[in-house]
Amino acid sequence: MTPDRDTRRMLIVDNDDVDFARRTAAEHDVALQRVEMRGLEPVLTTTLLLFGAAAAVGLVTSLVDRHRGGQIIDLRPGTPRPVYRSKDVIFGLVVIFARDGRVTVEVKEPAGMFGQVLEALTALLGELAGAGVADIAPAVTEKVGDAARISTESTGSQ
Amino acid sequence: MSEEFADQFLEQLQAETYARLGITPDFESLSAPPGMAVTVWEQSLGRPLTPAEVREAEAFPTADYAMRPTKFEHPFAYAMMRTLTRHIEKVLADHDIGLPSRPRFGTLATGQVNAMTVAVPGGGHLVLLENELLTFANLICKAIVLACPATEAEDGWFGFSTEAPAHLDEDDTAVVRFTETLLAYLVDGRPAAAPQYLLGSWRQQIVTSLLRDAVELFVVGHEYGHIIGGHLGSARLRSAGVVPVEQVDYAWQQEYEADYIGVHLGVLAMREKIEVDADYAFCGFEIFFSALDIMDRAASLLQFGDESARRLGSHPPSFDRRATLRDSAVRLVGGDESGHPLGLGRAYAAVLDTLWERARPAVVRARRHGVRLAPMWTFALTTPAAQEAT
Repeated sequence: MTPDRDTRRMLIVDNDDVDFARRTAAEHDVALQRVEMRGLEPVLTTTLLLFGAAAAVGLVTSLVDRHRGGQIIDLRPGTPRPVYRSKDVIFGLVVIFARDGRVTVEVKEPAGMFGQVLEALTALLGELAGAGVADIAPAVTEKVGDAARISTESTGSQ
Repeated sequence: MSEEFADQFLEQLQAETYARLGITPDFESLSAPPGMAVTVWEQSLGRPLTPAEVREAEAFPTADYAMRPTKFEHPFAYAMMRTLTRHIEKVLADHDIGLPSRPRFGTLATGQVNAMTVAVPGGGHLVLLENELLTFANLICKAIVLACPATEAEDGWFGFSTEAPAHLDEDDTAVVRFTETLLAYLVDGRPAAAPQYLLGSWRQQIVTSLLRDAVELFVVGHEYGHIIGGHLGSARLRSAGVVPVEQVDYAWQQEYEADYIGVHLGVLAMREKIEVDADYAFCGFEIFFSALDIMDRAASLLQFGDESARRLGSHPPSFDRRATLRDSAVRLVGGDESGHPLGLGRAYAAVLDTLWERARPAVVRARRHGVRLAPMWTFALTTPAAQEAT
């Protein structure tokens, strides 16, 4: 069956993930177009357009998102990069580093909820910078509710 | 390309970008304080407005809400961009410089001090400014003018001394305002979060307006330079159908070319708009690249404690681009031994350097107190390996 090309979806990815997105799209008969951009400063992300059958486009989007791995939120003072996706953490997990330990957020249904949980947690960044596990865990619990399991690990250091 | 499709594409791009940055803009509820437009206009004219002018001022925000192309567009930023693009396009028309198609324009949250040109699938272009760039340019130019004491000649003309350091020893208002702007942009992600103020004299307002115009016209002119130079030409070739993605190296030669076109358009647009000489137009790139360099340094200092540790992605460095433009500018309009026409811009760049020198301790203190960058900046603070890849 010839897939319809009616569905178009935009995807903004790190430059490192472009090759994976291209291969994955080809494997699922989804056409992929890179949106050309020229910035006064280098543009650090790549915007892609996926065209294809709705199910295939959705699948490729999901696979690319999974490929990016889990989320690191580093609230420790002096951290080089506070927020980033990491392939060292499995998709569906959010690891929040605090000055005295870490809080792990395991999203129960990552396929549907990971994006929403990330959005909720990103909103907490400003309030919790430099905070300890004892402050972060309840704030995260209040923010994500039943969508995730939350565990804590303390290193004892301050 | 239909304008409607380009605007839809822009809205989708804005929505995806805001989601990625974890920002939820709420421009629907945004409104100017009652009477703000009237107050600002009266300040700039130095007299009360006529009833007709009051009606025009009060209608300003309403009209822009209706005109903006997407729900993510800030109405005031869009109004300013509309004015800027109108001046650039007037210059193009006057000089018979054709565009493949008239670009649509808007703003985008980039997490960088940036502007960009985007090829719309199916043809056409978007010219996009970082959503806080216009506010940042305005506040930086105000701080520069505050740093430079006014002078008055016997013939009634006035000027501003660019010998900032001595003046700042007597009055540090400019340093305070400059520092507030930097920290508001770095920590809140919005330079407008800094305390707002009106300049005390119409002379200061005029010079601020000239400097701001120069910066903004250079930036917008640069983006039009990409379109005129055909730098995104492959998008037109691809428009017939969907094509595989290609890895396109960042073309720095094209950046230099767009810089040059941007300066050229800025000079002509400044002449067209307010009949000023090239001196003021050349302040645009000087101030822009100086401010860009300072933001790089300040972000790195706040995040890592070292202003040279990381950069927000500037390569080649802004000082290289500035040096190249200085050479080009002299060829463009000629120069003389006194430094004309680049002397004024260089002097203002030096004023910015001085302001940064005096603002630096406040950034260091903020870091000591645990203040950190707004999340939007950290997306651009890439690892060295990622920077190499760009």
